[in-house]
Amino acid sequence: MSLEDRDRSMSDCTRCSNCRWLPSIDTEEFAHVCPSIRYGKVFSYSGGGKAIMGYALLHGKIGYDEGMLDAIYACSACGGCQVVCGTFHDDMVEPLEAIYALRERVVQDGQLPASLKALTDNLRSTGNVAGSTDGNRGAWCASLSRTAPERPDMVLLVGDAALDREQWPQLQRLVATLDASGASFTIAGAAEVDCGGLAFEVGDQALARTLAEKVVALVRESGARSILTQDDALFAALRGYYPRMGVTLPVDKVVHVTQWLARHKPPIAAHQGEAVTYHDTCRLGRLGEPYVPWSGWHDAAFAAIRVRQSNVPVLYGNGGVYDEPRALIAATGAEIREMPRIRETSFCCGLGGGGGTFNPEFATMAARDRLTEALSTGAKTLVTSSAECACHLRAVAQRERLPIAVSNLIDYIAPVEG
Amino acid sequence: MSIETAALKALQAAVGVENVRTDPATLSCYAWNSGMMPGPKFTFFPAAIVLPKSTEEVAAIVRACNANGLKFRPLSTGNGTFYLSHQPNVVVLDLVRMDRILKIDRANQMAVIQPYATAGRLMAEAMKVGLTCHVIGAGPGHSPLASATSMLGIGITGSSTGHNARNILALEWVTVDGEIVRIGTTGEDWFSEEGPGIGFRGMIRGYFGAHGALGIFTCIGYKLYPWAGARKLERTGVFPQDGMPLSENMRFFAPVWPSSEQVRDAVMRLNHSGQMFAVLRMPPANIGFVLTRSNNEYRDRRLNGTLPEIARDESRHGLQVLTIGHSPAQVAHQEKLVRLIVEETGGRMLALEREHAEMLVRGLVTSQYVGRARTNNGATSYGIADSWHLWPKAVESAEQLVKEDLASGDVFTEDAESHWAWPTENRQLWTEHVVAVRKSPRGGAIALVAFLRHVYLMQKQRLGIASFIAGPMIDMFGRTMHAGLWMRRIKRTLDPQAHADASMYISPKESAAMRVFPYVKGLLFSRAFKPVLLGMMSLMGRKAGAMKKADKADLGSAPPRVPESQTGGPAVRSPSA
Ligand SMILES: Cc1cc2nc3c(=O)[nH]c(=O)nc-3n(C[C@H](O)[C@H](O)[C@H](O)COP(=O)(O)OP(=O)(O)OC[C@H]3O[C@@H](n4cnc5c(N)ncnc54)[C@H](O)[C@@H]3O)c2cc1C
Ligand code: SF4
Ligand code: SF4
Repeated sequence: MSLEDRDRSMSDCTRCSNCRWLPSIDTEEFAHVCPSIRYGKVFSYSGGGKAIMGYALLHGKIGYDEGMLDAIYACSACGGCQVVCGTFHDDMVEPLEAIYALRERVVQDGQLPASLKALTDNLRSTGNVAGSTDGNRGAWCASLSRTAPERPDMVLLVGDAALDREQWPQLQRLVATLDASGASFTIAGAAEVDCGGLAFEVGDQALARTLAEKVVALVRESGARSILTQDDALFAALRGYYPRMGVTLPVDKVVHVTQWLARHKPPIAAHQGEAVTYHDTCRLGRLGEPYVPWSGWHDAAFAAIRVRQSNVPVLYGNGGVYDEPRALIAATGAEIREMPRIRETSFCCGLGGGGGTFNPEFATMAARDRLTEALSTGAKTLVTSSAECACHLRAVAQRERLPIAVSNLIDYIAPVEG
Repeated sequence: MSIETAALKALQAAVGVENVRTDPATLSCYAWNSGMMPGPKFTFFPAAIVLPKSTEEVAAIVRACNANGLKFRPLSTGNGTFYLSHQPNVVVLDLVRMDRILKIDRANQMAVIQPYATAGRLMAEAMKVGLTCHVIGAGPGHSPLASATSMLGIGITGSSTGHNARNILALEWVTVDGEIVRIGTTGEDWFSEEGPGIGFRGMIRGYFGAHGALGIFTCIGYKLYPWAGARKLERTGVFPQDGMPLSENMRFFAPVWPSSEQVRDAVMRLNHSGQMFAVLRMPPANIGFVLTRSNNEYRDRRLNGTLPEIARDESRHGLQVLTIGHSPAQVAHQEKLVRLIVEETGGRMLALEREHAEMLVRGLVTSQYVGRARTNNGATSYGIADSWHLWPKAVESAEQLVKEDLASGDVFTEDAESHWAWPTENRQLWTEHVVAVRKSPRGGAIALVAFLRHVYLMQKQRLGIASFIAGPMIDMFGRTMHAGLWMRRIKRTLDPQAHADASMYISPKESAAMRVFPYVKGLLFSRAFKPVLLGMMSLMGRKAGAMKKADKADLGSAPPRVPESQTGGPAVRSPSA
């Protein structure tokens, strides 16, 4: 949706500042929901600030400058602002949608910051954000001796883990676990392409759409009725960004591996009595909620009550995946100590949406804040569903000598071999 | 508004280069008119935004502004965009870096807080030690310091947590000259039995607050109140409709009566008992906005008659009452008392589903859901403050006032009126008539005219004092109370050079227009003149560019108000998504 389309809703921002905070606060130290405003301090960093800047840009009140771009991209597009704004204002403003539209305009105006432009250039030239010329997404599974069923129920997409050798053993274990639990699936492997999620998040929607269409083609080719993935960013792209771009996947369902495993209960590691905390990633959580596209009008019911013309529900992140990862951790015997900011109003680690690339200081601040919160629970380990978030959090924990281990969920629950 | 190099350097010297922002994008977020004020979406862009970390830095900024001919204005959270300036050359001090709860002193029932310590954060910490704080209707995100020192300060729990003006125990103040003043007990210990000195509060804030026009408050000693509920508000329900469990010592009641007179009688007796944690009259539609997940659900359930009874128009003479006892005997006494008063005043108790009760109770304790009253298009709010004996009159005058507006098809209220009301300090009536209006120049004009006419009429009818009088309104309506005169003298005495921006307070000099106003107000607010006033305000709205292309579809004459049963509700549409 373009900036013009968001004109009215951006203008409706009441600048109440609520999108900085959790609606229900348990503790003064961990009350923020928005890492961007926590980092940038001035209002432009909040979700509402981005809506106001979007409006100002659209109406010619401001032009581009460094400060503006920092406020727009020192932000992980995590959507915390949107669920909180909705708590108070229904769908009146939808700051995350304003962020998407504003970023799209930035790209159209040729203003995408160089560090992010490098990523989209890489995607265009090599098909992966890292710009690796050795972009074979099938290498990780080339040595697996398995035969895919002729008519698989699911197709496994693994995202950028396919390009990260360190993650290959984990992916291979995952395949073994899925096979052992009787899953009927095929691996996209070498046919897999970048899903376009990051391109969408930074605002290059043209590129995102091209990539999405390639994903649609490969899924159609697979004949599967569901997509299975362990990659949170991919999960959010398929369930949230594709519908926003009007791209329809030829499947009934997009399933996260944690959902599959929680239902099929494969053998699992034992961590009896271990004190852990679980970090809900935004991409598996609120951004993983299936987005229901709608377009049309807001009517004024009873003269002045703003309602959607169609009865498409307003989303608050409830449709994200929250229970299954917890069920898997609980099944290991570990004791989950919840942080104050969880589920729909979880605090983002700062990595996503281009935030980590564009402004590492921002991403470090967000991770430090999250790790401090994890420590406040008394947990010795933070477990999270995303390998990328885990890697980012672990690096910050090590750099800042914070006494907490960080584990990727798939690794944490994997039974010890031998 | 670009700032002179010398002035910029002086500000940067005060707080560091990284804490001064002059880029237009940042400034735009501090010039944004959320709709609280009439006029365009952007007012004057400030000259700069500065982010001080300490009281000394605030003082240095003030001195730098004075030396460079700049005015200044603080904001603590900016929650209601009341800090907007109506003039150029203003430096905004965003106090976001002064965010600490410096102390919670359990024994002395007080906290020491900085401007950006929000109510939600303070409450969470206070509850851990069996205390709570006053929360104004703006909800957990506002600054108790800003509210207590500088702006209004009434809140739903006023029965038990008073008015914020009276919750200041000590204060630290940077005067308009940049002097740092500490009132109350100075030194290490902020505790002050008597409040600030010998009663300086009246001068620095008055009833509505000076809005930064007399200097900047950087720290306060703030009164806390006993809290006998849980040490942490656990969450019930499905997000975002968070509720909280009722502990054994809490009782929640939803009584209704046939008339506003009976409500008045009941509230006066409840007040008299001194036993209430919170008493609230919330318009049924607003209860409906809270108990439904979206406006669409509200619309549908209103149409098909499935809203809970408490959220239906027929329950409009109703209250929400929360008691919290400190002992089983007190709990029993409170329960008996409320039931008796309701019965003797001819009321009855509504039955509520548990999840609804839990949400409403969370709302009463934290004011979390007040903001949902603004999930609609435009809104206006006007009301009165005085004794509860005026309640039936407040209801009646609101009914009269909105009657014609309802017929226009631009306005939504309950069947007849839409007052929020609660008692403060077991006596005072606070009402706010929140009216949803269609978002169009005409809707905006109706809201503004209704607001102005209301204030005028209630003064004429001697209906207490108006709830929102600020800025030019002080000159327009303050003279009835003779307050405006003295406020001007205070401003002139404390800020003879008019260093501090006084957009929301009183200007040192009365304008010519205001001198004429007493002679024309009778005509201006007469019923006959109303269409002219409406036309003027509509024009102002359009000229100001407050409405956008998207609203053009709404600009024609408003459609007639069709009975809901025939239309399914919607009457007007605006392109949106
Ligand atoms: C939905 C809604 C409901 C509301 N309900 C209520 C209600 O029930 N009761 C009520 O009292 N108010 C209510 N308000 C208004 C509310 O009073 C203000 O939003 C709030 O008190 C101000 O706190 P803040 O942190 O947002 O202050 P800001 O918006 O930052 O400032 C408010 C004013 O105080 C001045 N100010 C701020 N900080 C300082 C300082 N440190 N020193 C000197 N001056 C300062 C500012 O210049 C400004 O004029 C409501 C607002 C909204 C939007
Ligand atoms: S985006 Fe929503 S929550 Fe944030 S300031 Fe605007 S209205 Fe308030
Ligand atoms: S998307 Fe996340 S980081 Fe960005 S403004 Fe919203 S809450 Fe803040």
